Amino acid sequence: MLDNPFYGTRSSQDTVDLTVVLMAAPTKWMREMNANERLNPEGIDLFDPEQGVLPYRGFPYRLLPFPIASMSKETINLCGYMGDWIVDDAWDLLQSAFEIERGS
Amino acid sequence: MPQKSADQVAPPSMPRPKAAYVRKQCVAAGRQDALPKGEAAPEVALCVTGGGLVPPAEMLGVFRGFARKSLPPPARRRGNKSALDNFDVISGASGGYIAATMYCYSKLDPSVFLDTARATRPRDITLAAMHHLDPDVEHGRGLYGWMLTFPAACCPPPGGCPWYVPTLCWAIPIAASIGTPFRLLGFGKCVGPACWPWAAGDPSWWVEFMWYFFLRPLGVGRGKFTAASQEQAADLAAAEGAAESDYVWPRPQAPMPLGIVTMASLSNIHPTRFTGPLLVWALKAWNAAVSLAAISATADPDGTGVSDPDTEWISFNTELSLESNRQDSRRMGLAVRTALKEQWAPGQPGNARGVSLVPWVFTPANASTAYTPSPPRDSGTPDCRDQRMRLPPLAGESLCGCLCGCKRCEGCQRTTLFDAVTVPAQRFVLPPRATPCGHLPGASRLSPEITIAMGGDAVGAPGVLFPACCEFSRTIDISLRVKTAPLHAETCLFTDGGVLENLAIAPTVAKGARRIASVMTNMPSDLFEPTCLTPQGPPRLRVLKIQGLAALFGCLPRVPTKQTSQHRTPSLWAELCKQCARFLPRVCALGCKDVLEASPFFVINQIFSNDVGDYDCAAAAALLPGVDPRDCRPFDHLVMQFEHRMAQGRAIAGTLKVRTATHPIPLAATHSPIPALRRGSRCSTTHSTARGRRRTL
Repeated sequence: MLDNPFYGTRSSQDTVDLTVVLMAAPTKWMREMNANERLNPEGIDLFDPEQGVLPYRGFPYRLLPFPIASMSKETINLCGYMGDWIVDDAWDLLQSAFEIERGS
Repeated sequence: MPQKSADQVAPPSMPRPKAAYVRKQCVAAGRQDALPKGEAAPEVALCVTGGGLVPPAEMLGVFRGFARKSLPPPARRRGNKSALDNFDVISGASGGYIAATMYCYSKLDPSVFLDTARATRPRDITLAAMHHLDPDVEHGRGLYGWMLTFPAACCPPPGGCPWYVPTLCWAIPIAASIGTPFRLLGFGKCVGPACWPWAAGDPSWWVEFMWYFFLRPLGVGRGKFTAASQEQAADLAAAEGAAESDYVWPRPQAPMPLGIVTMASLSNIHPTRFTGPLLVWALKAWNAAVSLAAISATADPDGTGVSDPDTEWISFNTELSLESNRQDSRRMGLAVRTALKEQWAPGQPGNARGVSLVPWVFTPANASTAYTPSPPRDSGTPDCRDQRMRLPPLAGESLCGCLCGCKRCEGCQRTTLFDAVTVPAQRFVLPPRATPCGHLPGASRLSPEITIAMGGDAVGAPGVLFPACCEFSRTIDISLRVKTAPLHAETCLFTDGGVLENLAIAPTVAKGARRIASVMTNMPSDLFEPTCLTPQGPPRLRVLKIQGLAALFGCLPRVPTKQTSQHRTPSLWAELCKQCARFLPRVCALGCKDVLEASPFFVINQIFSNDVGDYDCAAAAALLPGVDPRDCRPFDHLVMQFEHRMAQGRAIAGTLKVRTATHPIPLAATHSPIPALRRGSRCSTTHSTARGRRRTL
């Protein structure tokens, strides 16, 4: 830790346990989504930027950041499913925030 | 007659007064310490990046994932079973704070609010579930996901209109023409707390927007005070002579929302004059730190004959600031130290000194800033204890000053006090004061919608970054009269927290959090594009895209020596410096995107050491097989973890235990060049260390 007078951090502070997760679509998750026959009866690459189908095509696409327009139900659900999977997959790292031994 | 012993004396018949009564009496007697100090320092925090409506959307799954995780009893805090409610705070910048507010203020059970009954495994997702998303009909309130799909999310009633209708019809013509006279005549207090549409300009519409779409569906009333809990609300109501119904508080057992907001101007000074010196010193600090670091990591790092512009990084480490460390005991990143020195250096535009963007942190209990503008000893300022900001004058303002005749306008060189303060939330906004040519006073109280409108003020952010847009800041930033020092108040402009620190990690650590889970939302689609180093190889992580995280470690993209893939050229930077100094409105034409991607204010963000091996290497050893963490810089190791997991198709994540400084800064070290972080480098093979030696494992 370093002193930073702009934010107020101090070098006297204790250890900081930092875990970072990037909200980018994991390829393993996309493969499993493609393998779901109910979502993908034709067996194509749903996420392919050109051949895929909405709402999967190009996901995670640049969502409109300005909070004006609403988002479709499918887009929100896709975000929900992906984030849930990411937390589950990265739990081996994230659980350290709660002082749980890794692997327990 | 036998006398009673001391322990046989009857207890007093008068009952003990209630805490609320005691506080009320203390407040009446002028004792400010009677007000609650707010919540305890957080231990575990979830930090969410900004990005408008994207973080709320992407955090639906993250919240759901954490809510579904059950912690074993020894790890539970406050008796909570789910991991999500075991965070002490959920902090966020900009859109991340919207997400935090939505979750923390919801009164519904998290399993209902987040719809945790849904499947996690992709193979279990049904087509019907993918298309299904409804409100909570039973409780009559919005569920998290449904709120983001609210139809015609554009304006209050009459809703259903395109988004530009409220802006064109209400915010500008009607709110400005009706609201401005009302607020001028009423010194800002007219017609409710900056209530749309009677208040002036865009802020009122923006505040109303936030309430209507993100708080009203949760059952949160408009214009309420905030408190950390119902008990605190009862105490405050008793002390302040208000009703408990005037307060709102997060759901019991839920984490506290913590938002970061940028103070973009103060003392009624014109935003152009305020942000102009800031940009100059930020760019000066950037360049000064670069020249001190004497980087030699330019082209061709791998001998391929092609250089990757994304690898041009500079790591600002403490060992380079030895000369300053001899005079100053603080252990500070070089870029931070340089920025601090530059903002106090003589010769700033308008003779400004000590002017800075200030990060404020808001919780339901209080508002605070830790910034103390004390100049460093080597800044050339005669008295390093002088904490008075010296504000640059403007012609119009000096005219107003002469007209109003107030003493502080003398010589057109105003000064103002600034110091670290923590103010209870309900005392944060002070009664407005009308100042000729000053900012129009805004809201009269700090309500949840005011807080998220300030923190998520994406419209006002360009006014901070680009002097040409500053003229708009006056009308689109939220102005509040607040304490800027324990015994001093000013009218300030507040804008988006993401301007300064988009990850919200630095203020959370400053609050005392020791264990942090950071979620970086809004990752760009070209995050994985092959770089020019590996055109035929597998996609790699473009580190430049996560420079907000890198800045916390003192890693900043180097001012390029040639045109890069981002079209950021040396001439652009040189021109930007010139334009900022002259305050001419031509900066935007030079490419806003480039400047936004390399915010000069990132120079003040380093809070973690990036010295080689300056983290818990033993814990990191198991994360990357074949890599010796002792030879890696912390940020380098984090990025390698990202790439390692990405190659496996897993969620991209990494973890570090950043240690406290346990070793003294080596005074005998020299100003040896520090190697830039090269994305292609691998610590296990050959890596240059901070002391100039090379190790081969």
